[in-house]
Amino acid sequence: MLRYIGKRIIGVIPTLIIVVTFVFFFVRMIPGDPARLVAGPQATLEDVEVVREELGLDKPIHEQYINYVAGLLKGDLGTSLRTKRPVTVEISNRYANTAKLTLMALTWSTIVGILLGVWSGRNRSKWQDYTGMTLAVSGISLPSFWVGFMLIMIFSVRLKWFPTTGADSFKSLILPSIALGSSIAAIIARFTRSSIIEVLKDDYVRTARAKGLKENVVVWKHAFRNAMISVVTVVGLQFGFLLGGSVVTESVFAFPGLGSLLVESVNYRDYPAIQSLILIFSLHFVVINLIVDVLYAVLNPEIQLS
Amino acid sequence: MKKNAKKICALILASAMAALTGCGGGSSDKAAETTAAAAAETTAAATVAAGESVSQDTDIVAATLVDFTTMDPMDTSDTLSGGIQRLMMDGLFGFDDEMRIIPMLATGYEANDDATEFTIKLREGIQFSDGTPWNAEAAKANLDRWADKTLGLKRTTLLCNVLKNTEIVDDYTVKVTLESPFGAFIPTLAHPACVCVSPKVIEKGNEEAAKAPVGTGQYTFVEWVAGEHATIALNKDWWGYDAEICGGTALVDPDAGFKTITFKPVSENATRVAMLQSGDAQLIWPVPTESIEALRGDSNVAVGQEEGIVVRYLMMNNQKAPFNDVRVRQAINYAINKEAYCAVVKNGVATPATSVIGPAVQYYKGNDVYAYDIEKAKSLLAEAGYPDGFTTSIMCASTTSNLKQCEFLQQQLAQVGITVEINALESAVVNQKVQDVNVPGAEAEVEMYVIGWSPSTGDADWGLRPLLAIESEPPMSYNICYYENEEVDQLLKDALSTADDAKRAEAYAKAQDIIWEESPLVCLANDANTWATSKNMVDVKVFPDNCINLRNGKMSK
Repeated sequence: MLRYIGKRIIGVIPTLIIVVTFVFFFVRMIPGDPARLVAGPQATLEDVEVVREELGLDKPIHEQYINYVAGLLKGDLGTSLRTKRPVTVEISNRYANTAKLTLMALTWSTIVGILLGVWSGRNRSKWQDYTGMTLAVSGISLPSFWVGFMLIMIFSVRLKWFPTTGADSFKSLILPSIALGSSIAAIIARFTRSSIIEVLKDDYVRTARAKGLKENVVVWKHAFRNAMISVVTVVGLQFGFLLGGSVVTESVFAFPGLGSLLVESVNYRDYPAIQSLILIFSLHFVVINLIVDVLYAVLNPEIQLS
Repeated sequence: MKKNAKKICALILASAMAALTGCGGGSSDKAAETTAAAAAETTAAATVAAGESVSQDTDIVAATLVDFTTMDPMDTSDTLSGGIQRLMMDGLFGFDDEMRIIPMLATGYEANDDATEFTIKLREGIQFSDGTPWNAEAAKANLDRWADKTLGLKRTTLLCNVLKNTEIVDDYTVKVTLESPFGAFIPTLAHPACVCVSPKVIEKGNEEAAKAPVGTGQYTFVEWVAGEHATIALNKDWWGYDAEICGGTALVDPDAGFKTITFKPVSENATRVAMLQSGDAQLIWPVPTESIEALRGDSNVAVGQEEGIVVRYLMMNNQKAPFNDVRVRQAINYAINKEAYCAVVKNGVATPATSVIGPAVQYYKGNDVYAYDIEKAKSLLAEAGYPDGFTTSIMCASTTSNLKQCEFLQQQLAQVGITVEINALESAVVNQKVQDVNVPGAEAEVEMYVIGWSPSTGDADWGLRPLLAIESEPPMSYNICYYENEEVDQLLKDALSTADDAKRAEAYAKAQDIIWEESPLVCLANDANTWATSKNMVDVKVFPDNCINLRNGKMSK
């Protein structure tokens, strides 16, 4: 297993090189001049040139690329054009917020999603199934900004149980994590349900039932583990997306996370910040994929890692 | 591996899409002085008996549309950041509630006849919150900074070409010599960018000024976490409380001011409103126009609305056909119903504009609004050789409010046969296509453009020159109309070459009349500024330039 993980990590390197290179050139292809944005609206052309030089944007593009990669190798993500502070500082604060929110949203939505999915799946075509899937379809269909506003109106404005905004306390994370997690819970529920239905048709389940095992044992001990394989993939993907921050939920709850940072950075053509964020988001997916693959083997020893 | 690559591609696409959908937000509304003005009255708020205010023991939260950009006044081009800076730092001159100029760190000035030498008397007995005394040396340090082009600060363009040198006459007098006559010098000193920072901060450099400002103001800086909040705390030793230093009457009441103020950027309109209703915030501005009625009905909330100095324009490229014909420009002016514009686009929170500058701006001279007259517009178009109209385009940054504006204009102009394509682009792209072009107007891409402008000096110069002087054509400034009228240019120069009020007023009145007649841009509306507070807050408002005005703020129990 360790050898496999080692091999996978080495395999990640070309992926990252591609990401770094593509992002570097793509952000520079977007029209809009960061030097002008930094210099300000009334700056003369000469002023803009001075700023361009200061930011190192006057150098030929291949030279900029080499400098950037050299910096990356030393762990230096560069300096934000917008705030003139190191990108690492800019990101770390927001990263902690997004990570907290992601963990909370993903934890509750995974538990609720799986329970709802198993409940629906084992009671296929009965009222439990219809209730569960109605909930799931609502969760997917209701836009998160609407859910967010409803939560604020009910729980903050009316009942005054939770603060409307903020990221500093556990309490302030509850409403955004509900808004963020509801669609994920729904997706997980649907995947779990279809997976459980598939697995319950398998021969070994029939054997287990024939042995006279209780239905609960059949479902949770025998079927559940196998059904989890596709669910783990979905949870992993959602985890990756959530870690990228959600622009919509963040703006509804004025939550200082990575999503709004990316938008601000793009608006400002803050090249170093955009590059770093996309690089980090890619890293998330690479790592999560690796974890998911390892989890496959844990869930089903028949799956060989090689 | 393949699977990974696919997922990563999807991720990049997803991020790019997220970025694209998000582009409309943020930057547009805070773009250089392009924020929110109209005649209206403040909702009668509660009152607090003298000495009864509990505000100095109360922490308040203010929710704002966007985050601050910097704490360095000289590097600030948005009204919001100017607002918080004005609470922490005072200028030589400032504004009263109606935006009339009042002496702050200065007590008065004398100017020579041709407006090239200003001798400024400084107020005595004041110190910066780091203990540095306010005196001629400190004033010179600030004036020298404003004149220093090499610092690369956004606002040095206000004064760097104006200031020649500053001499210390005595401990509390400085003599400022200008490069050339500049009659708007004193109003420019009242611009929010020209507030004074401690000489110690100036010594440490721009970075210090951007993150840890020190002034002589009513509040001191506590902290600023970008994207989250900025907090300032009351400075009870502020000179504004001291009647003696103020020369008789104190600037504010002894019980005015809040213990601390925390500003939170909340871009989502509905969330800002919810914060006020739930008590998580005590002050929000601007108030989303769609929520004003609902908030007026809320007994815990007081809504304020007052005329501001932001004017909204439809600019036309005067060097390009068909807009090079004055009849076409006038026809367009007649074809747009300004009352309807205020009602539909601005939800009634605006009034039709009566000049290029708003009534609260010094040397404003109003004219009659171009009446809504489709027949007249059509006959003017026919006279100019466009009986069937023509096709043109409006460029704008793709924000919700801009799109609403452009769609309204499109519908209005369709009535007289002018087909308008709306070219809504992301703001940085618009910047590049409109602002960063160094070609004559006839070759510029822009045909029509929507923009708002607030002259933050409160003086006609800053309302007219950046928009309509020949020297202000892109990339220098905002004459996106490429309006080139030698007579207007001369009048603007004449008005600057004297400090004599009557002469300046005359020149600006004449210039405004000519501009009104020639209609290089359609002056659509004067925005009103809006704010809302919890009911127990008193005397909190915004200045006409939409900077927050908390100077005399109080709170009942």
